[in-house]
Amino acid sequence: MRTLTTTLLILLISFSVNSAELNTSNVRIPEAPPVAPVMAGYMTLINDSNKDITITSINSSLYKSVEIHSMSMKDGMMHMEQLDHFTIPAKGQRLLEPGGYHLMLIKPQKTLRAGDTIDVIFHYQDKTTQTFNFKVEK
Amino acid sequence: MKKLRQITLLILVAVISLGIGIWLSKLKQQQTSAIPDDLNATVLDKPRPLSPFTLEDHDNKHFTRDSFKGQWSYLFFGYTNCPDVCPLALKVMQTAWNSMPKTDSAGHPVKMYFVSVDPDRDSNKLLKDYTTYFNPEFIGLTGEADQLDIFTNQLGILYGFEDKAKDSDNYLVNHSAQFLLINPKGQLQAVISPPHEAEKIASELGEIFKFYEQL
Repeated sequence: MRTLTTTLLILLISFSVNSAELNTSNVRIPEAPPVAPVMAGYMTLINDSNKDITITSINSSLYKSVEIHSMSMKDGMMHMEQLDHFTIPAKGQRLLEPGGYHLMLIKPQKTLRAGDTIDVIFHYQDKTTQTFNFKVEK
Repeated sequence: MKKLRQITLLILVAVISLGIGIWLSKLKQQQTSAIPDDLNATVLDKPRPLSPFTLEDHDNKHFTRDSFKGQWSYLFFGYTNCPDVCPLALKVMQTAWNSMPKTDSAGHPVKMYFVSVDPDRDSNKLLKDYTTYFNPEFIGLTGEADQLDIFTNQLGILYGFEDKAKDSDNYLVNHSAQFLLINPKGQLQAVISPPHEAEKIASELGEIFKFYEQL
């Protein structure tokens, strides 16, 4: 009986852990010059759940590191800032787009060309992760 | 009687002043009406001359204010570690490039320069590989920090480093995001502020040529 309860509990926990998932559209990385030390990632993040989902870190085996940046016009200059978390509200969506919030993909580990696909892993505040497949576009 | 004459004189002076005022303002309207006012670009009715500076192009050749003479020159300021704004602007210019006039009526060619304000990380070689990826005709420029300051200050271009520690190559650069256009006399002729649209940049160049030819 205890084993069954434990199993059910584990199942319940893993179910709730898996529930923090984002839907996406327009997931892309524009091709950059092969010498470019950085690339940008754009996507629409859609949260259909009833809970806010907070991204706390991001990584990919094809980049040295991945950061989320905000972009704003400040004192007449374009000003980028690294964010330590990024929340998509319950039943809401947020954009990572050119000239706005975006992923900064630092030091590609190989030359990435249009057509290549790249797995990028998002880590959420509830310790779950989700992998998104980005396509490099011309 | 003397008082009446004084009043008449006063009225006369007032009427004449008003007339001169209206005439002057009309004259000014006529003068400024030549500036195309429905453009996204801000065209300067008095193009601004440049003071001397020395930069280097991506082939290690000296680039001075005289290098601008006899050609139209677009300028964009940024750095190769820029993930979003710079590649976006260079792609827009590449798209515009395909549909814009390549010379004015006097035969002055059009050039595009990407000026790196981050010479510590952007060597001429890196800048060349980066800039020519967008278009083999685009040219990279950079220089010593003091020369970049002389160049950018007079053009109203701002830039600054965020958390730049010594011996670190991991820092961000804040920078202006306008395209500038230098005329064949080597003077600042137009400023194009973001957001940039390829179609507008391309179609407005002809208008700017026409305005310049009237100057």
